[in-house]
Amino acid sequence: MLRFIAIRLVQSAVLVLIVLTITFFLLHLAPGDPMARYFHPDISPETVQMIKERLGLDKPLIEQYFRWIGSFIRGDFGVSLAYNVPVRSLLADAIPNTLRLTIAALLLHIVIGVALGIVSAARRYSFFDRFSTVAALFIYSIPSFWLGLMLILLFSLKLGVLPSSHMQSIGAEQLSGIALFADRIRHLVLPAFVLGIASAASIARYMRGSMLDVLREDYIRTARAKGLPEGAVFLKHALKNAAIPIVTIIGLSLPFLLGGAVVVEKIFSWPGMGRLTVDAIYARDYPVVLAVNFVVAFMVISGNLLADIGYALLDPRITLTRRGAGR
Amino acid sequence: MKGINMETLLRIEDLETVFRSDDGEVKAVDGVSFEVGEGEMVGLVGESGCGKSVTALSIMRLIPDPPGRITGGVVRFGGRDLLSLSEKEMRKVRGNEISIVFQEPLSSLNPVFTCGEQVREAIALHQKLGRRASKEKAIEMLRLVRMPDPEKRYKSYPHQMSGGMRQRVMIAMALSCEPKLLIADEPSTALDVSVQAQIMELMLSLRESMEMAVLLITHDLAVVAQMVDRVIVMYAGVVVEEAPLGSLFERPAHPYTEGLLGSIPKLGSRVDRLPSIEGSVPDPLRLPPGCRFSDRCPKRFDRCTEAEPEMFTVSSGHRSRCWLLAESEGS
Amino acid sequence: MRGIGQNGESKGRGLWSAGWARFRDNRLAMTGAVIVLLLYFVAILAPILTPYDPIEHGDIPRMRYMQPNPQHLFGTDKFGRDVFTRVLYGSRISLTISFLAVLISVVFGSVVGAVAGYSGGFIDAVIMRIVDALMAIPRLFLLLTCVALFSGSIWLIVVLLGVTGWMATARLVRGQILSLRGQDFVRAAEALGAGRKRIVLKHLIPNTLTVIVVAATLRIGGIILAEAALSFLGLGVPPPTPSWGQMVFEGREALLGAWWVSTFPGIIIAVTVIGYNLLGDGLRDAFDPRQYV
Repeated sequence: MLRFIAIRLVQSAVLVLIVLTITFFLLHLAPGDPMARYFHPDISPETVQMIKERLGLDKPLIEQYFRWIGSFIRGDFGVSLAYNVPVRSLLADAIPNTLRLTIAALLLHIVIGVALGIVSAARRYSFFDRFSTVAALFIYSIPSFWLGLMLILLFSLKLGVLPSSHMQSIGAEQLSGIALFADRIRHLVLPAFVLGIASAASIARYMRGSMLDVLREDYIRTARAKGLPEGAVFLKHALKNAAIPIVTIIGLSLPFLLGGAVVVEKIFSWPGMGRLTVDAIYARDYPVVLAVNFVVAFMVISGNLLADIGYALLDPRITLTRRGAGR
Repeated sequence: MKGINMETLLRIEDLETVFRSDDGEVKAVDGVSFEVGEGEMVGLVGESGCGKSVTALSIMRLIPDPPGRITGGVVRFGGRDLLSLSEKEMRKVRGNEISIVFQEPLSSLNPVFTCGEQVREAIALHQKLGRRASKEKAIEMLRLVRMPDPEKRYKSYPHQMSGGMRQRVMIAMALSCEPKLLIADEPSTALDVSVQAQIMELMLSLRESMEMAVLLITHDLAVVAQMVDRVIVMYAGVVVEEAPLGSLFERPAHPYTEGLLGSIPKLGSRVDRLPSIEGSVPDPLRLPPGCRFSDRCPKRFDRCTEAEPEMFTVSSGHRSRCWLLAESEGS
Repeated sequence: MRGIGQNGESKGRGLWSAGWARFRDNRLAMTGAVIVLLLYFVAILAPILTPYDPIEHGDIPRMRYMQPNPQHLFGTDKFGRDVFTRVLYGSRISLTISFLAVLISVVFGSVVGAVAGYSGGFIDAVIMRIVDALMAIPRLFLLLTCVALFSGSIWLIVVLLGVTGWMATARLVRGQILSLRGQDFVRAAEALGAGRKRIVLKHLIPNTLTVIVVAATLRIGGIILAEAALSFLGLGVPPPTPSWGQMVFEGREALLGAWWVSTFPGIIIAVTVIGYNLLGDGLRDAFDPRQYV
């Protein structure tokens, strides 16, 4: 088990390095002087030369590469061209906000997806099952930005029950603990729902299939032969087995959630990494764009690592060779 | 050896279980009747697909629905008809009064729980014991089935055990609530030959000490020969012969039973090839007319294809479903 | 059992006609096929189906934000343009972009996957680690980064959508190749001295084709959504060319007063994606040989 985690840690670290390498070459492949992108156009050429020498940008490519990797690993992502502040401080503001949104969406999609999947499996071929099959297909095909707008139109503009943008109301700082928390939750509902619902639909389908596979197994018959009530057969014996491949699927849904956050943050004016990226692209703020890429990839890789560890904890049979066999 | 006039524990009458398929309904069990007495050990024998396992699952009401369904008959056990119990009442019977041991111990044990937990669960459920007490009882059960180092093995997962140990866990689980009837569905078939004998011997000795009845399901008459009091032979969904062990081996009355006996190698007699029954089990959707065995029977005559024979009494406790007996009765 | 019976028949009639028969019996799959065909039909016949121009502004004071009515089925936008007309012309953009992008990603991904799977060893390990790394960056971030670095035209968008989506195909093809490689006919070809390239092109890729076609169909939906998201963020197809995502974005300004500007293009995107997903599911159920193994 420890050996498994250690090996996966090393693999993840290698993956992070490769992401960095790809980002570096992407920067150098693009037309124009790549390093010019790291300086504000207003700075005089002499100053640029001086900084270049100090940062070693006049050194051969291979040396630059190692310096770049070194500085990224230390969390030094350079200076934002648009805001003239270290990229790191911009990220420090944005990352927690994106995490709040993404984790809320993750919890939502796991709870909704797993619950719907179990009910569909239990009531296989019922009206509910057929309906949720069609609904899942539909939800999966809806563009999230459009769904977001429609929900804003309905709940914010027409009904006026939920706020349409930002993380909290203006002046919310003056509210007491519980009222502030409630205010933030109200702001979280729509964006988290829009972000999580498509993944919830796919988790529900996988969960249904996984449960139906497991329910055919001999050990389910054994559990029934013991005289266990159906609830225990489902929620103890079947669920733990059916959840094993789902953990991997949840890990794989992370890139979708983080990518979706770009659009959702834009619609709901959520001050996270997605909005930071889009604004940085409008402003051609390259250091920010590349840093966000790295951070997001790092999150995805860490998330997959966590999913693998979760997989190993759930399945006592786990060995490295059987990893990801997930039927 | 026990006689047949003991108290009846289980009485099955005209049991009928069907499975739906795309090509129509298949009667996997078609009017089966037999009895098991208290403390008696009965062998239920037949080729695979003859309905013996479906009979066992029907007694436990564990037929997967869909596609299967019990469509008729009575399963009388301890004064009640199990088929008319509510699901809740039936759960109190399963694992408590009637237990079952399946053929394939690896797939029959849940891979993500420890073996001990799976035994403990049954004890906690039926004996209303707390976690500590049920754990102690579970370890005791593991010791009873001669599991080496039971405290340590309590924490093992099924994949960490050998086939024989897994089957011991299944037996411990089945016997943990001291059932009146144990159904053993080919308990040793999936195991190595050397382990098979150990498991069968274990079951015999436990049966003695716990005074329970056993319904041993097997395709192998040789297994039955060592252990049971009485044998029931099934073919294509019906009982074709039923007899005390000695009577069956000395005077088999049904050609199918003769065929099964013929394929057992006898000690001391050297044969190059075991005689076996010609042909194969008929497709349940396309049974031959008349006697179900008629298309494979070496002693077939006109009457066999005209109507299905009833059960004829051969001697006390020995009955057989063959027209040859009607001929001899008549003459 | 039904599957066995159909398999038995399929030997007589050939894999393709048996697959087609299965496909025809699948009502959802046929619905998907009809939706997709209808969309191509609409894209080609757009000028005949509508009297209006998709780009030219209408008489803005009089025509802007008109409610849906018999003349303007989906209403008009802030420039007085007919939304229905723009949706019709928008189908050309979405269908062209998604088709070309999938073509690029599938061809590139298949070649990379085949090379990795067939080479094995070190080359395979390097390629697959790069694939893993690229898949760790969410597609939209990857796209946005490329757009920022290489900003340009609609064709660039096509290429970028293609080259950011090849990794899954590469993985799929590699898996297929690995399982096919051990089979007899490839060994036989090797024993006959066929060159490595020849084996890949003549034997392995054709055998992987059904799997690729199914995956590609299922991926078109995703590409349409990605293009729409990009356009919605203002980084896709530049205006005034009508693109569905961009139309949803433009409607955002007057969401309460003129809900129709955003609503209809969004519904059309959803219907298109559903069509492709149904078609892809149907093709997989009908032709993917793996389900009979």
